[in-house]
Amino acid sequence: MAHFAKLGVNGKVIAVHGLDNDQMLNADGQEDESVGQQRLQQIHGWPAQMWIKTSYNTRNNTYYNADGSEGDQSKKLRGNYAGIGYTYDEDNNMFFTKQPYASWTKNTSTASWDSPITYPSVTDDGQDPVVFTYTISWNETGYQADNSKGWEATKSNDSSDPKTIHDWNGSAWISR
Amino acid sequence: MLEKHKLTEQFYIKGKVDSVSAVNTKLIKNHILSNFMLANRYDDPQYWYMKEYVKVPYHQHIQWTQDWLRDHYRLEHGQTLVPTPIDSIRGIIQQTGEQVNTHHNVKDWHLAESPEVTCLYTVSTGPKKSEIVFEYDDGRNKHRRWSVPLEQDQFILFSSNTSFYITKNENKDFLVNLSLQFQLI
Repeated sequence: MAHFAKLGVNGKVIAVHGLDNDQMLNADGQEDESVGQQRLQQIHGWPAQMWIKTSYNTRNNTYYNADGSEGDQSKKLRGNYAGIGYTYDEDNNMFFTKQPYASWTKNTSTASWDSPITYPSVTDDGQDPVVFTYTISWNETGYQADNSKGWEATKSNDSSDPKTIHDWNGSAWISR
Repeated sequence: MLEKHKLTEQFYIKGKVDSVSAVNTKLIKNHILSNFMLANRYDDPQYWYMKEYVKVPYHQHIQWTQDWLRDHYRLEHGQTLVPTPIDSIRGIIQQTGEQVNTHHNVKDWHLAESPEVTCLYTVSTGPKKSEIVFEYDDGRNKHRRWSVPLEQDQFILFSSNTSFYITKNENKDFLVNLSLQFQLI
């Protein structure tokens, strides 16, 4: 079974359809994406060039076997398995999820979005056993006001109301 | 903190199927008209308004229209439009001087097969535009009306429980609409 993403006129994925592999064989008996696109145009009345093949086993630009282990990377295709609402980036020939925040940029190595500040390296108190973890989120408004800040967190064991917010300074959490 | 929660809504959405789609409204029009000539009108004594509709069997371009609406509604609103179990495809034909009387499409004694969203797709209209007129209550503002002109190749999706009528066809030619009934999942 092959899968094709159906693109809307704005490049967004509006559906993903399956197609039997024998429906996309060319005259030489080889699987050919363009044959599949033509077949889908016949079936669905939607232009052939707006059907883009996508790989069920590819995510974050890595090919995975059915058991979840990393597989033959020559089989990876277009960054991610397309989903409804994803965007097809024609220049990079990849599917991307919706941009999470305006300041985040595409990473074509991982077919994902990178925050302008690296994700915090400290995610809990470092004790054994762990006493609390940090509940971390991105604050786009905060980043736009001060480009040195963006990641913020609260402690999981903080019972105060409202909880104390901490800002990540690049190496440690600072109480606000 | 003021948390507002919407319990119900009545809406309409208008638009056009992308021109890149192979949907051909002339073919749909001819398909509806050919069934009209066969006198395929609905006749249901429990729901008088079904006489306003013509039975329309499967047609590939109607299927493509349903597909377009399903895909784009899901992308924008996160729910999937699924054709109702029966009578999901109907035609409305207004000859010169005819109008469609006020009704809504929820069958009060057959809720399981009733639609939640109705689509009116104008596949043929003349130079004199008819209008779909919605009738609704808004709190103590009772008996409100809102009219939308029926444009060639334009669809209007609306809540199936909203009563509506279509004004008189003042053209020499037939006014032909495709009516699609959907449930939401």
